[in-house]
Amino acid sequence: MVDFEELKDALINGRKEEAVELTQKALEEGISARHLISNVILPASKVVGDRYEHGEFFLSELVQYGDTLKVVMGPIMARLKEEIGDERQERVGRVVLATVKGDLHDIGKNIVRLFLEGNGFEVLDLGVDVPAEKVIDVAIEYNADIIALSCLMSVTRDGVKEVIDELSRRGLRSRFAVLVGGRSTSEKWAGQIGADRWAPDAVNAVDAAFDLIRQQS
Amino acid sequence: MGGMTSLERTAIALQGGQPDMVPVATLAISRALWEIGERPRTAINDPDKMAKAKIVANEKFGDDIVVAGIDGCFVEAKAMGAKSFWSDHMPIVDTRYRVINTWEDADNLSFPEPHEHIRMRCVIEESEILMDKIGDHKAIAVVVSGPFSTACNLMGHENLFRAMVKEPDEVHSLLDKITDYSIKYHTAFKGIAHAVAVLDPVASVETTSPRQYEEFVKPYLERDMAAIAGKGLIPINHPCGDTTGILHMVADVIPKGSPGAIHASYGNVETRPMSLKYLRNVLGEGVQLDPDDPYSIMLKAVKKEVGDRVCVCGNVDPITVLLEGTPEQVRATVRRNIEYGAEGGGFILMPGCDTNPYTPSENFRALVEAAREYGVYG
Repeated sequence: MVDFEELKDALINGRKEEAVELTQKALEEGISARHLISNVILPASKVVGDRYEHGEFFLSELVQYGDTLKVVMGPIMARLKEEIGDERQERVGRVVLATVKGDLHDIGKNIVRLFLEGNGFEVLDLGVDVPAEKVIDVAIEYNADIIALSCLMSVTRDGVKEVIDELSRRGLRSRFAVLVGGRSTSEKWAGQIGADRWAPDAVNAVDAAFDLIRQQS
Repeated sequence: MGGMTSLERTAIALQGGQPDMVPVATLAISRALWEIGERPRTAINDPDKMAKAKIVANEKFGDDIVVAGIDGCFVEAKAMGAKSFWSDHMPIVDTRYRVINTWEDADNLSFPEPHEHIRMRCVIEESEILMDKIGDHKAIAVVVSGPFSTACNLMGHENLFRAMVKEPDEVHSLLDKITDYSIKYHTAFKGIAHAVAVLDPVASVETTSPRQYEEFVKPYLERDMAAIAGKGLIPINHPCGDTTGILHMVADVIPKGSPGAIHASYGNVETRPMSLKYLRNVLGEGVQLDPDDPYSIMLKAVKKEVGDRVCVCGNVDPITVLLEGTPEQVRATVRRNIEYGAEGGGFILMPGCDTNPYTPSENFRALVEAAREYGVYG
């Protein structure tokens, strides 16, 4: 029997080969994907988030965790599909994520993606320098629940407002929850431009995303 | 006004001393161009326009320090082959096109002479003009990039932070080369600037661990800062963000016996649990926090910890206070900054980072006027 603590530890500490081997072994032993997600992936993500928030983990650890999570989730998601047929029935929520137009800073956004994925969200990451129109077009097509927007520089913050204004202009404001974050943003400012939630970091972004999904349902 | 010139006042503070009043800088950098009807796009490679803008802005706002350069975080990487991407206020490096994808790329970097690369040449010439026109009474500080942040501009964050774990020797070898080249550029300001502010925004603990700072940032900055000081220039270390757990090292890179300063936001007690923990460790559990101003109080802890060794710069929030606040809020923040940071000298009042060009003029004016009003040493 695979020891879940061992697998969790390998995942948290970015020991990729070991984590993949243990995951495959667990699946071969007949452990369901759902069980692995609930008992390994989600608790591991929480530990990584806590360690980052408390200054025990930094970017290198997050990058290694992300690399490991990516390869571990491949076989788990494939199994989940077999188990439930339509994986969308089981999803936590769908997020379209982007760094707004004019801004190329993506490290914060990438950490948010990692934590959202680690907590069961499906995330479509549009990258950096993404215009408002594209964010919205993709959110419609992807049937997203949340549009999550990042900007580091204060000079590019208007890009966030543009997305919210464009949603209103198209009569779509109530269809998507808008989550905002990034160094130059603040709770007050996010409220002023009409965002639904603001998060100061990736850990809080996950909590906010769960809240937004709860509110929608 | 006191009896000292801006240059005298700033020089004394940078040496840890107490001048007639607290020196102040607005860091109105890209904004300066707006003051002469230009924009970064139209003027960035015209040293005459750049210098003129900085002088006009300085005359308008009346601060003590004039900054040469605009895209200081990126010039070295651009000289080594990075592509530019135009943001509203300056051309940043486009990290979607990485100069270094393999270590072979790192072996083949190009290192043009500072006078032969357009961005380096333009900053050098701008600094020369500023020094010639106002350098006898204003402090001229040029902004440049730290080796670690330059490496990040060349490789991309994730690849650099992965490589520090998996291929540390190669990262050291790259940082060594970048440092050699950076020194060539940074020391080119000998005689044409008073201070060199080394911007290292990737080196704060939002991304870099204290252990990584010690191994991958500190030794290279030490070498850079020693070379800068060796040319009679005053080094300023700007790690930009949270310095919790690295503050002593941030101060230690300033060569012993040399004047020098540190400049960062130092942390945010509202959103970063580590900042709050640090603050309480240094100042006691009963420290009073102001939810509307999570940055000013950091000065008190930083000054207490390293204020006897280096000049401390900061810490007005450039966004919530300067960009979004009212002149009254700016004045109140300046008052708190001075209360927390000015005692005994060795302090320069400035925003915690570069300012947004849309910052209202009245807020820049309020920053300087309040510094003059509250910052007089008795």
